[in-house]
Amino acid sequence: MFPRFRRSTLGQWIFTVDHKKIGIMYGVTALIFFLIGGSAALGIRTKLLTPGPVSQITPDAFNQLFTVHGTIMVFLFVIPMLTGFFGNYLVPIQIGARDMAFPRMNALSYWLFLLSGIMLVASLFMGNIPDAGWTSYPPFSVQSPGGGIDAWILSLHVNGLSSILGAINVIVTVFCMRAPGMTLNRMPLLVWSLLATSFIQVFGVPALSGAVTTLLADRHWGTVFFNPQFGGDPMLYQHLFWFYSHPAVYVLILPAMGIVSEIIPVFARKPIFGYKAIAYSSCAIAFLGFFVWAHHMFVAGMAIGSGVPFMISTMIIAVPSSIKMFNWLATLWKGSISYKTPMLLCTLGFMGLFTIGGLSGIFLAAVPIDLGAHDTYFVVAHFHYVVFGGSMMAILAGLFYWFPKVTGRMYNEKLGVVMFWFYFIGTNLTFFPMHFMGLAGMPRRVYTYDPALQGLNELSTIGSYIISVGVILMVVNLVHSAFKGVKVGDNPWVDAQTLEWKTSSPPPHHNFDEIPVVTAAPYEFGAPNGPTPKPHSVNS
Amino acid sequence: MIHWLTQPITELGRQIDAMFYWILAITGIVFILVEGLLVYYIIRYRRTHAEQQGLDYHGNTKLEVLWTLVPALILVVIGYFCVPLVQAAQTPPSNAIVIQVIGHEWSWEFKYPNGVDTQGSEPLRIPAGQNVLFKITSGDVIHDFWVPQFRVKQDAVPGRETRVWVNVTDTDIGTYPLRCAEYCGVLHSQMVSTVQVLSPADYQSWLDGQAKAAASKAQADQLKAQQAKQTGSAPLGDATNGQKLATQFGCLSCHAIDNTQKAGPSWKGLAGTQVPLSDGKTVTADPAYLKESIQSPTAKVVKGYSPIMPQTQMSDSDVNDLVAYIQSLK
Repeated sequence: MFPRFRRSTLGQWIFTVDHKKIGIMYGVTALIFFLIGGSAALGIRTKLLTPGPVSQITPDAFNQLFTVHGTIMVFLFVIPMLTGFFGNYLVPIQIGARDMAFPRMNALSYWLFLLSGIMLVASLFMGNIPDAGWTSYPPFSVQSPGGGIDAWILSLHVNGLSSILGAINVIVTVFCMRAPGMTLNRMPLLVWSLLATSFIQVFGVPALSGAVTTLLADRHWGTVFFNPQFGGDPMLYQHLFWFYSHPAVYVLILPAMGIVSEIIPVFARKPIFGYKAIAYSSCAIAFLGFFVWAHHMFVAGMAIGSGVPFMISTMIIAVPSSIKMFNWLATLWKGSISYKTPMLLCTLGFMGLFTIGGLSGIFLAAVPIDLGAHDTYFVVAHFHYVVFGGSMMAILAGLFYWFPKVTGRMYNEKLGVVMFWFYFIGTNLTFFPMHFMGLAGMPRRVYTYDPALQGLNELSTIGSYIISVGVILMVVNLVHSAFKGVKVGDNPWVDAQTLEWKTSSPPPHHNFDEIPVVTAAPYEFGAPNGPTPKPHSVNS
Repeated sequence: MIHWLTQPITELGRQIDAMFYWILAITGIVFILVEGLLVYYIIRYRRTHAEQQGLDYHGNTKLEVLWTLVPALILVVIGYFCVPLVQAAQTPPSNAIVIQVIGHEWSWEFKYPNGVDTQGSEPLRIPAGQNVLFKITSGDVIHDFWVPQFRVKQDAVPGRETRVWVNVTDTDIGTYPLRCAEYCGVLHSQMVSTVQVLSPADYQSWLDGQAKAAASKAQADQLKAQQAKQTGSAPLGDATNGQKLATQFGCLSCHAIDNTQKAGPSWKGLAGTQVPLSDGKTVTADPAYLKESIQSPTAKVVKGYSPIMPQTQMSDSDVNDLVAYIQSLK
């Protein structure tokens, strides 16, 4: 070995190429963006307490708020949290590797991600906040004055590069760095889901980059990609944008499903039901995800009948998701379920709420219903049940489940359970009334609305305040426990069997003193006779 | 505080609602099944003893096949029954009355078969019991033509024509909201108009009256223009009509008439003054300048303001009226 440079603590973080440190930096940065994006959401909900205009939040500011909220939550929170934090921290260690395949490129991914975030947030201080929605449709986004949209575009360029590099890293790591005996079919389900996600990123992000590059060209260099006066077409942008951004929805949900698949067997003390069905359905979703994009455009100007093939593909992609749901239910069946915070978040939280988001998606997939429901609050309700009820619950579950591994200390369980209920009640109160607003005729992205709907909007706003209490409890719990929590050993959950629990908490720089040899699947729980209490025995 | 679907006013709308209720029933059953099992399992199989283990059971292929095929079948059936509705929505009847719908930032323009063209906050008027085909496009950015009670919406896309057709039931004569459903800028949420469903007789008499009024106004304008040319004085337009237009076109959302600070410069006392421009030049606010600023808003931008004013589709005589109104604000 070469003698190591001595670095200051700060230097150790800035110059690190260790996948665990990079993962932690991703996680902390993403959480900070979550707080910024969440504040924007509170601004939106606070304005909507009353149907008329309010002087503190002008229409301009309102449009900026929902643009910033959407962009930050998708590109700077959920995606980097799932692929950056969970992906980076867990993929190498769960397959028994010492690091990612390309550690320096991994560091570059993180710093590019941070740069993209700073570029977007900097627009707040330049007085030109993007205001064209997170979708930024031309011609509106081409005409929007000032540098806001340009900051948005460049930020997405840098963010996309970060995503592609990160995804290549995961793919190569999974295919080339697995420990002896870690066959593909013995990989933890989270690794399967992240592998599928990485393929989506590699094939999808270029379409988004192309879309925003042409937007930039139309804005500044006199091109006419989206200008109908010269033969361009605004719909071209929508096709390119959704060709990435619908698969991106599966980037938001697949790793979340992976997290749920890790946690449920541990706390139910049962093998995961249908391992292969869950693993392969992730791949099916990643593949089919590229054939549904135009369901965002049923009313956008395509012939209405052109929606039919996309309706069919959208219906089909619901099947692998429902397969997972049934398998998780079957895993709970005859389990021995303990309700620690991560398990509450996975069962009542993720499974309970994602089901609602999945079912409301069937309405929107049906072209005739979507002709009415498109662009209404029904859609807002649908995707928030998927992303906030689904992805967010799984992110929280994962944060608390792996917290003792990452920090070597246990979080506060009581506070965790209280937090869960704030999130669960708040989420339902915020997003369930939105279904009814949409059905009653309230469009998305409106600053003012029909006063008859004020009651529903008030409920929704109160719900968002309840969620923010949950957020505060989360931050307090995580920060306090990271420094003051009870110290834990290698495997505080006792039952957990994936490889990260076979090394110290936190793991050493090289993960394992000796590379483990894998001889079994990751979820070998349970007794042959099921959930009958076993007599007290010596330590299992 | 109970809100639900609005009442549909077309036959197609009612069929779409029937589809909605079928899907609601199916998803409702799945919802109760899944959530019911979830809650039952997490109570029934909770750990009651520290050493308690779950059942060592890895899966069942028959079950996997079952819960793959059954949802797939249900979804295919839903899709199958949706297709005829899609067909109906996209095939307009051949004998329809054609009304052109043009979205502007932030109002709707309607062109009727006999050449009548209404703008601003004027409601859309259609006859009940007759096939009406809307040919929709946009003059600037993307909007969306949405009457919730029609159950069918389409984006208004510049350079493209989208279509919605309706046949409102005779018994549904009345007034319904018309909204823009695609985000289109600062006043998107106020891009609200109404649809008046009239009896065919009322519709026809309104249309005829409108055509007559347009003809006489054109005549009067011409006369006035001639007079003005001869005498070379007096504003060209009609300030009273200009005042009406200012509200209709939403000008007053951004321009004050009492010197309060808004997104655009105030109109009070504007006419005749020296206006500093953003490029450092100064210009006199004469009728020609005012007219130019209405017709091509970004040509000369006043210092301290952003070039955010949208292009409006106003006839020449309307612009003259509006200029006259601005001149009248001393």
